[in-house]
Amino acid sequence: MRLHRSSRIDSRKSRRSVAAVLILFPALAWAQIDHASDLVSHEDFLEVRIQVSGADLDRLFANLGDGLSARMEYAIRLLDPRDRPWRVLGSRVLHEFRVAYELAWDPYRERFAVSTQDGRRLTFADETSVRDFFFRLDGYRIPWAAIDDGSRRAASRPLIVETRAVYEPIVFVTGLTILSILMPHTRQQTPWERLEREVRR
Amino acid sequence: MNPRREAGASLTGLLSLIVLYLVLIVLVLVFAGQVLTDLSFTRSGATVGVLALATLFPVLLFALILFNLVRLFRDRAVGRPGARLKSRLIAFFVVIVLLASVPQGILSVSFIRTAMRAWFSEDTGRAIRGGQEIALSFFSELERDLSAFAASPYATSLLEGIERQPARVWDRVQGVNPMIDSFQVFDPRFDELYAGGARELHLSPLQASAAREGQVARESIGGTSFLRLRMSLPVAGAPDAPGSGPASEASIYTVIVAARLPVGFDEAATRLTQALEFFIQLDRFQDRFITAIGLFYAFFSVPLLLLSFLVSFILSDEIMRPIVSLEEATRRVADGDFSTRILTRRGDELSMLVNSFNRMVGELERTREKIIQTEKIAAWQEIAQRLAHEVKNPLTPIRLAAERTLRKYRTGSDDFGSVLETSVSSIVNEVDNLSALLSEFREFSRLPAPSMEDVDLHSVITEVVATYTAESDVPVDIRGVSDDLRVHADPGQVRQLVSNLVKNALEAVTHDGPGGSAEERDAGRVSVHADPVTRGDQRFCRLRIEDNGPGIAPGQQSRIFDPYVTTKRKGTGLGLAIVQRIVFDHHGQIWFDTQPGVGTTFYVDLPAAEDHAHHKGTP
Repeated sequence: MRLHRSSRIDSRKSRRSVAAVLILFPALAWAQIDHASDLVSHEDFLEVRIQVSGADLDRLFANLGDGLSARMEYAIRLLDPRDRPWRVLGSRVLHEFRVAYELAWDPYRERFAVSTQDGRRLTFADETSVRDFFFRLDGYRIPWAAIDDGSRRAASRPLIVETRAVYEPIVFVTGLTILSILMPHTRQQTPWERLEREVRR
Repeated sequence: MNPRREAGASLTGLLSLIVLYLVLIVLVLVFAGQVLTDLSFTRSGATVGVLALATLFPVLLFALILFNLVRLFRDRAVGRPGARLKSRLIAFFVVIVLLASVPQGILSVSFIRTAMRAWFSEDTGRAIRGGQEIALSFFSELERDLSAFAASPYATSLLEGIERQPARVWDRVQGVNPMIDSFQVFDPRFDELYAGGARELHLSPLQASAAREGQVARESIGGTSFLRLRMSLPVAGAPDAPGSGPASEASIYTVIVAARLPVGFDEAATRLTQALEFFIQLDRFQDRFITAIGLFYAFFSVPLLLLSFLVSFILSDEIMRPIVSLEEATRRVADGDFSTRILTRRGDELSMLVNSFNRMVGELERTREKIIQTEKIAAWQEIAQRLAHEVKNPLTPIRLAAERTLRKYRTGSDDFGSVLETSVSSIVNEVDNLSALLSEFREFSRLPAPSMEDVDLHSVITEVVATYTAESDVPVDIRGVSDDLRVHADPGQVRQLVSNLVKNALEAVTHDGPGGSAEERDAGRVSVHADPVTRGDQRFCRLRIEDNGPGIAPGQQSRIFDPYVTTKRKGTGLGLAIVQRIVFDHHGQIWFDTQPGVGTTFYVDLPAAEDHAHHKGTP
């Protein structure tokens, strides 16, 4: 089973408010990111793909070249829809997974280096390859066993998946994090994309 | 004792503000530690709530200050006691707070700006960049060395005959390039032909076959970082080179060379990169950083400043409370309320003043009670004497008439009948006088407490004067009575007051009242005036009754309001006493102006209708 849905439709309202904010605060006029999710249900696992678009790549690579670093975080939330009459309370969050990448230019190797949250360090020789890796979560697998573990959820019940991406084109070093108060564009966050069709195992 | 107001500290508000102040200080410490390191905490639900509260808090404080300011201005506008002094005290407090905090704020931000410029100057930036360039140069040189060694003909020459004389290979490698720490050679089947140098840097045949060709890889094993290079080199005449063709053709050998980086190079390079990133960010966003620090400072200092302002209101209240109580109590005492006392719990100079005031008022109250008691006794003694005198006066003619009648009866006199008639008539007259005297006395002594309401003074005067002009030929001029004059009084008692004064005036101009001579009546003149007047902040209606009678003799002027003092032959002497009592009960004033042979004017001030509220609290 393959499901796909873009967050563009869901985020239409939030975009209007973003536009209003941009009129008031021209400094925020940075490119805002979007994301699109793709979900594939396999026998043993659930595969999630997230593609981020809309980032200002010229500015990103210029910043990397200057010695700054960027960060991307993908969040995946698995929801268990409630039965009536509790549906008004919304769905119950079963699990939340986060995958974070930190991107920098390695001047010793003269390659782009991406550090993952599990301590791996991947290097890329060119902008295209690093862009394809950094702005895409490809084939993130969530085993059904992990989904069902501790959730007290019947395996036959439907599952709803929400995704979002948080992009920081500049990661402030310790001591300067206060700058993010005045530079909200340094943390761009897409709205939760809810895959409305229910995923069944 | 009647405690009007509880003096002393209302410490609850002050303590609450002190607690809030401490909470703010704790928040400053917590947030100051976090805000420069990791702001992700601001995205948690609880922290967002705390931040919302922190934002709402100054708004609430500002609203409270505004409320207190409005109240203060209103108090000043209505002239509330202590309002002006309180506003001056608050102004002083605010000035002191600003004098202390504004330079501190300017100093703090200025210090941060100056320190940043000093610490992160261009020189610092150049030093960090220079450090990284040196590290990069070293790294690049090591890379070039490895590549140059691998590509040199000497490396190829090392391979020739390596199977036969392996013992000398390592020495030759070290002789050419002492930076090399490991040297491995694999034949085309990836069988290891030679391995020299540090064993921990050696690769297995499998790893060697998987390594990238021609690229220097930076690797790390067990905390040791090194550079490794794989190169494929042709070796002519190599034996048993499978697939290499004839012996004359060259076989391809795989050479792996590795060189250690200095101990701590990685860590130092990482720190250098981080330092440079920090410097670049600071250099690029310095102005915004200063602004952010300023905003952060304002975010916490403004509530503290507002809190200080609010504390100034409470402290001013605290200081002003006994002074205001004292002022209010003094005014009550001046109004005749000697039961006023001020409570105090403090032990400072103000409480000593309050205690002295309380003792003074207590002494005054006791003295006044003694005086009143003495005056009462004296007044009743005088009244008793006069009443006895007035009662005794008619007793003599009654007794004489009765004795004369009895004597005539005993002697059988012929004129007994006429004497009897005259005597009985005289006795009846005197008894009537006695009865009238006692009725008026009873009226005087039983004058009820006034039942207050708004009374149209013009109507009362017109009505009373109409009654008297019907019985008297003396004209009473009431054109001086203004319309729309309303007093707050008992209507019956006001009527009696006006009646007594008009009657007195009429009797004064005719000496014997309506039955006086025609000349006297023609010359007599009585006029009544009534106008609104203001004394202090109170409004009154002033009643003026004027006659052109003989005036009051100087000897009687001081006793004119005393009971049973009269200048008239048939007067009871209670008319003016009743008038004075009514005026007193209505919190008014009465006085007169007289000139023998010219006339007398009585003045009466009664509270105007709209001003009665001023006297409600006064017994």
